[in-house]
Amino acid sequence: MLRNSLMFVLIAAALLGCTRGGEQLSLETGKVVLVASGPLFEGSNTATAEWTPARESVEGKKITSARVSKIRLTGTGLYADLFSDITFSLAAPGADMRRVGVLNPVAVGDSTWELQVAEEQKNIEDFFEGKPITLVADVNLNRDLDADLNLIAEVVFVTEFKK
Amino acid sequence: MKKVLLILWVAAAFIGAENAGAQSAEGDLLVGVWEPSHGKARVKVEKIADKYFGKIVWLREPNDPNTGLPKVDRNNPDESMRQVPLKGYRLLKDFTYSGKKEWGNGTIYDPENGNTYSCVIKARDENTLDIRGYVGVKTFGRTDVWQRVTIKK
Repeated sequence: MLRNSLMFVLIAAALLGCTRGGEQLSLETGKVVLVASGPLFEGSNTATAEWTPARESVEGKKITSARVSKIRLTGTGLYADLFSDITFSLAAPGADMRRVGVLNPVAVGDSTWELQVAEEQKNIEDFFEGKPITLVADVNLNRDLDADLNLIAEVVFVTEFKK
Repeated sequence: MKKVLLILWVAAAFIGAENAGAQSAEGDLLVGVWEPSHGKARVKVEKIADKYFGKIVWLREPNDPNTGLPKVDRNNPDESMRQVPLKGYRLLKDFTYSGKKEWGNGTIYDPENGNTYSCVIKARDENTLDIRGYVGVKTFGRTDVWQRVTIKK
């Protein structure tokens, strides 16, 4: 009886040890300006910017898992009827590019867009290996644009870390 | 002696930087607009974060004949991403230049079945690419020939 109870306690402790993650940390990019140099032609175009997490927020922490939980893009009123769709990805030298958000179609008249975040997000933690993360917005334009395209991106990551 | 060492060190650094620049320029041969052999699409390759990516910029049939709407990635294994439009879809991803006009470590996505394959790209010349998609080992794969849309002179 004692042996069985002991076994049960040991198994429960092992299971708990396996399922328990690290501490949670929310990382926000703040407002990052993504730029596509104009003139731009109707159809697919790409705006990018690099972002590095603030050193004090990640120093001494090993990010063990990460997910994008929110992507918001803001443009000017001039962009109200410019986009037919927006796709958002992450890229970095040490990680495979990941598509993490989409908005299709884009409603006419808006200048702030909340993207639908991908359910499957594999290996997002690979982006937190110390190198800058490139934020990539792919937009399909409804018409030509004789200027640079500037989009303000605000992205929220939910991460787990170990010290 | 110190001076000689310093000169050698500067020369080595200079040659290293030159080689890196030449490698990068050679790798950028991939940048441009390409057409697969089926001619149904055109793919623009660009460089992001020191890697090469290719996205669809033109489709012969941009609209889905069933819905009349622009084609989307309806075969994506992730249901939440099935609204991603095919125009602008990045199907070549994460290629790095390995030298000798070859790019590797990348993947190619087939929107017709939603599968992603390992892929190597080899330039036959400035305007012709061999794109080989494979599963596991390169031997078991298929090669398609892509032509540059704007011919370089």
